[in-house]
Amino acid sequence: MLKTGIGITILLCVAFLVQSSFFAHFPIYGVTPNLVLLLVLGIALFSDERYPTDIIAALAGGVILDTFSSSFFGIWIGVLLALVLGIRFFIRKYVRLSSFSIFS
Amino acid sequence: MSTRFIFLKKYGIGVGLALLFLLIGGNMFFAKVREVTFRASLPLQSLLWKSGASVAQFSEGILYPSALSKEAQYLRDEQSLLISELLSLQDIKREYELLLQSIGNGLPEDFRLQRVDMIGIVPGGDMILIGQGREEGVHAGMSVITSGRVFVGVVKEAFPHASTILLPSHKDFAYDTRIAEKNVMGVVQGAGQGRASMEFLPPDALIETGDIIVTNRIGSVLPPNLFIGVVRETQQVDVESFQRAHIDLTFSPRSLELLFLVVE
Repeated sequence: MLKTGIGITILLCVAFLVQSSFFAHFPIYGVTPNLVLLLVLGIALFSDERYPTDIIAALAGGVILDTFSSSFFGIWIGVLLALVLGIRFFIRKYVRLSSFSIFS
Repeated sequence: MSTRFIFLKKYGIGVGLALLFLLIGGNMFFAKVREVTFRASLPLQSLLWKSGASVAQFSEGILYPSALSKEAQYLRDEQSLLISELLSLQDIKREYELLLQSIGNGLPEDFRLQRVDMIGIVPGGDMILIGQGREEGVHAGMSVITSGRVFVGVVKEAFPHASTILLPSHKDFAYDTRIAEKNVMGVVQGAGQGRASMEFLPPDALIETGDIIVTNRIGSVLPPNLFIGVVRETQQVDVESFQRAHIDLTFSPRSLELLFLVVE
């Protein structure tokens, strides 16, 4: 779990740097996609709910986005955690298939 | 006692406390954390920004050749127009110099500029990062402009080797400006997501689409007469108490590369 956590944090850091410095030159309809948000959502959708991989991703992603944003530290952590917990709740309540988890 | 309740009792309090400490600690040491993060990420960000710019430039030529040739034609036309304007301005400058000499004054001093490099855009798009900081003489409140003397923004925070620049579209941006030629003053206020408006314009002032907005000499900390944008449309606010003008900013943060800091 520790290895997964470190791996996810590094992946999110790289995603953020690529998003803010490289993909900033390639806007889609004027908007640069928030790679960190997309990655956290992806992890939340495809992770095994028995492990807190998605929570770790939300925390790491939130800290990274909050560090680089100008507003109150904690906004992105809250947003990503709420999204991940919402997805967990939705999957537990409405999705029966659990065989497509990629992240342990 | 259900399994879920035991889990919450065992880990929930710990996770909650950890989150609380993270939020309190994060806000207490926010500046320090950001300073360290900027320093660590600076080389990679600078490299990614430069490679992104070259890939974008290369791919634009391949993906949109017709748009590129149209732009080249437009620029050629614009260049000839500018050359003719430059010639007439040179005549005016000569007359102005002669006039100043005759009344015993020198020419007004120009800005002292320092080159800075853009290295990234903060999510939201209304703040950018430059690769120079306190160690290179950057301080909060300094203005950043393009080589074409277009106002880009104000330094919000200066770290040892990086700084954040507040663009006019950022919600925290509010500075005195004026409409050039008409000399009508107002406050340019950012609205987020690349949008900005000019507030507190007199209700009886005749503001038209295309009017040019520049920084103001009076009551502002910004260097005077820097081009900010043009009026897109006007709107009457609060039953004739003042007017608001929605503005188009002159630049897009993505097109910025070579920037200058106004040192004096």
